[in-house]
Amino acid sequence: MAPAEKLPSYLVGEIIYRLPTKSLARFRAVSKTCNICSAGINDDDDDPRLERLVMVENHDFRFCGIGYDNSRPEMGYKVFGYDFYFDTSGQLYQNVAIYNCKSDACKFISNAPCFGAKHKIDGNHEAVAWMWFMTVSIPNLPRFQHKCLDSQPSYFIDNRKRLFVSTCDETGHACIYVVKGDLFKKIPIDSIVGLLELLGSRAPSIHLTDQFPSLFGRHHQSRQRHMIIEVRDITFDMPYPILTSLVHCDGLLLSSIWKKGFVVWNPCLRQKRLIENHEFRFCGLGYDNSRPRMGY
Amino acid sequence: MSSNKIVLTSSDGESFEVEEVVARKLQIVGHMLEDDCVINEIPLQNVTGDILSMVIEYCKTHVDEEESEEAQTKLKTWDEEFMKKFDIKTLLQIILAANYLNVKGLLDLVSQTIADTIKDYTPEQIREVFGVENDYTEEEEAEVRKENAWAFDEADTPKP
Repeated sequence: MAPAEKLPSYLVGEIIYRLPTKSLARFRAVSKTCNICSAGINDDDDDPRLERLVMVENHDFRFCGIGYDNSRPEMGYKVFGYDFYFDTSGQLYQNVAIYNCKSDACKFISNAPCFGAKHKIDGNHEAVAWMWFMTVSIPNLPRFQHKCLDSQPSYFIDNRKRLFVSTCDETGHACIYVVKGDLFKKIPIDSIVGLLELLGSRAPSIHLTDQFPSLFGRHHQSRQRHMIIEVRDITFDMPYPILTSLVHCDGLLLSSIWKKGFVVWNPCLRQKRLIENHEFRFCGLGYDNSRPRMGY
Repeated sequence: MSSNKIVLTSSDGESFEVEEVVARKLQIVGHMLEDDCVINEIPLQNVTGDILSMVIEYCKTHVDEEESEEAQTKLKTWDEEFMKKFDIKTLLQIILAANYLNVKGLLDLVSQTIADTIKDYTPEQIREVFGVENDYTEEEEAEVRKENAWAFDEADTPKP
């Protein structure tokens, strides 16, 4: 059978655009070009999007940094890192930093020495965010409660430079903080559905995942708003007692489970995959669009 | 005006006489007609007769796109049945023709149909159908396959 006439690339794009994630991942093996296409065009809008989540092991801190370079080519890259640490009194503080960097630089940026050297960490219960092209300083942002270590906050930055923090407030109730510039707003979890709808209409390309820890930390409910994907209610009934973090990227949810490994949840395919992590310490986790993978 | 007949001629010399309103579904023809109203025979160099006849069949069916839900459902059903007739090779010919002739609705339809058809293909089948050269080394390909192993595992197909 003779090969068909070569399709113009944008016709190939039309087809790829309509393929499910799983097929795209499989077709990465077709050729190098297909690999790039599959990685780039798997998105809900016309902009090729490459998203990566990179977690870099950080020996000095309780929890490692997380970074991702987000989406739009004209924005370059940004890397978002956060660290948690205990001071001598056992109090848990948190700092958030966002860096603008070239893609390859994220490895350096997420390193603790760089972080610590560039930004002084003070212990006044402040959470300071350096945001891409702008600085966010919120002296009165309430200290996040971390009584339960399995309810660490999850973060999200949308393309309107708003920072979302999903965490517990002082009383331990789950809530979401929305930060823009020097303003912030606290939203109880009860109103989350309204929020999602609001965001959906105002920021159509938003990706939002929130982690709602329940009383026992065993059940996590996530709702995700995606431009095309409808709001989905996903209930995790985790067989593991401790879920240390939940990150998201382009429709995939990656959950890391302390000392246990990772669960990758793909709402599109409605499937869960457990990736065993044999290393005791938290390791790096990289994510390149439709291709979840791990690094150590 | 709608009773005007236009003759469309394929690359292999086959001629189709269609009503102007049908021919205007091909935007390429629409533009030609706007440029010069006296044209009544249009040569279409890039399309063979058998493919052109299918495009025309689509255009005839879609010439009156009614808004009513009933009509839309009917059209959708027709589209599905229409697409079932073609194998992947023909579909690729049609997408090229739909692109050249600029028939938006057909382009969307056939793109989706191709995507649905190839979504379960193996990489080997994709290479064959699309004439893609495998430029991986064996090691590289094995690595990519390993990274995306989940997409190859049929046991992982979504369970509703």
